[in-house]
Amino acid sequence: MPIFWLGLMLAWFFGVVLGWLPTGFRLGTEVTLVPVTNFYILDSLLARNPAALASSLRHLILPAVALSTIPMAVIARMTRASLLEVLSQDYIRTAESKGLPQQAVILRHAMRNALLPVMTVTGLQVGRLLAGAILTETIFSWPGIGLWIFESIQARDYPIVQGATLFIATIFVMVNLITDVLYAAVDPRIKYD
Amino acid sequence: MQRSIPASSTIELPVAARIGARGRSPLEAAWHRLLANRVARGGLVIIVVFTLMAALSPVFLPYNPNVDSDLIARLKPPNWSHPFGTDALGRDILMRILHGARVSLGLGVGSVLLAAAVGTLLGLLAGYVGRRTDLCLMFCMDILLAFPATLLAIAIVAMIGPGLRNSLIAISVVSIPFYARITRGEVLALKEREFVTAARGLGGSARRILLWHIFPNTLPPLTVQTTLAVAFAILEAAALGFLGLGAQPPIPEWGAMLADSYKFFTSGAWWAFFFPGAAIMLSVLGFNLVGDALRDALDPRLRT
Repeated sequence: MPIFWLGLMLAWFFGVVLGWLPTGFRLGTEVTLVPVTNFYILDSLLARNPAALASSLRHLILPAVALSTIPMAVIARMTRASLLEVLSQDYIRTAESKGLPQQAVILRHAMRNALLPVMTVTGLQVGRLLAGAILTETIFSWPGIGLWIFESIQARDYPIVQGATLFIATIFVMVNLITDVLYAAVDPRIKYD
Repeated sequence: MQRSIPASSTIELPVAARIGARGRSPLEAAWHRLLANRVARGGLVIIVVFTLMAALSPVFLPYNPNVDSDLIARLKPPNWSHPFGTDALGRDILMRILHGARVSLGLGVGSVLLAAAVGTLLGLLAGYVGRRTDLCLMFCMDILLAFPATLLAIAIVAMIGPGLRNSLIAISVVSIPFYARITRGEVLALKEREFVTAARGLGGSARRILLWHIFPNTLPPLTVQTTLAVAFAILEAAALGFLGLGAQPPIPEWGAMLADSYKFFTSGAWWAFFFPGAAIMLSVLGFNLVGDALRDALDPRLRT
């Protein structure tokens, strides 16, 4: 499913038809908030401003759902495939025959071993999120790198597009590096020198 | 890793084939397994419908996007004369979706064919020649893979200029590494198989071995990758079109149609962006379903 279409449909249904949630921007105009860190949730907590907190949370729901649905589906599928593979192993049968409750078998024995491919996929999804942010921010009018790229494209300001692309690619590579390092934490058999 | 369809290794012929009757080739068997899958049949139907749309609508419903605008009937909701409504310039959305199928599917299939040709060639070379060639090629592929795919496509189009042809190039460049890696992996595994040694022992040249003995055996995984890649390419093309980097107006492209109409969603003109998006989603779904089913059909060991 195209992410920008999902975002549009969500904004239209919950924002226009039902009128439950705002269709864009980060904060309602009725609240005032002095930005300190520019993380609006953090700022409203710092300013002890419950109205601003509620407003920024409400503005966060639709973009967050739009952006996270597709990676969620991918990660869920990967977890299923990986878990199915692990569950057919001998040590799972051993754990079950020891009389351990099923929850413990799944969580402690199977999930830990099924986690590695899931982590890889999750790391790769970050790249998708960063690219998806361009579309999501455009639809929900969020002033981030994504909207900045979109506006630069419209203005044919290509150095900005190239610079922002390089910046996002750097983040992506760093995330994948962190994923690789985390392998060692999850799987004691893997050691880095 | 062994794959089905050992083209030149010994095949255990079924009894019927040995006494002269026609047996099922592995390819036929895979095709039957594919058709037995209800999800795959659904996906195939979607693909066929969209292909027919792309092929037939220019023949039966001639359309000139330049003169098509009815400024009196702007942003009209679906009705009898405009079943999907009209957009902000009074253009019939159903008509534009039908003709957009040609643009979107053409972009998807075209870029994938380009990527498959280049990527497979690079993969064959890297896998068979090995050593420094392998190192260099795979290093380049790793660089391409370091960028998130959509973002790289955006950057490439931004560099070489927007337009249909350039977005086709960008999408195929982004898809090349996947082909190269898959083909290389397959070649590395196949290179050690007996039938390759046999072909070499019979005096086959490197080119002959690569093209006639190794390449046919890399086809099953490549077919799966191609089907899934078409889905990805349609999605990318729509994203580029949405950002204004793909098809330029007035070409009816689904992503560009969404871009034209998304500003109107607060005024409740849902038909203007619902139908183009639904077209994108359905076509992507069709290719994804068939791709997944193909993977199961071509590789029986993966079936659960």
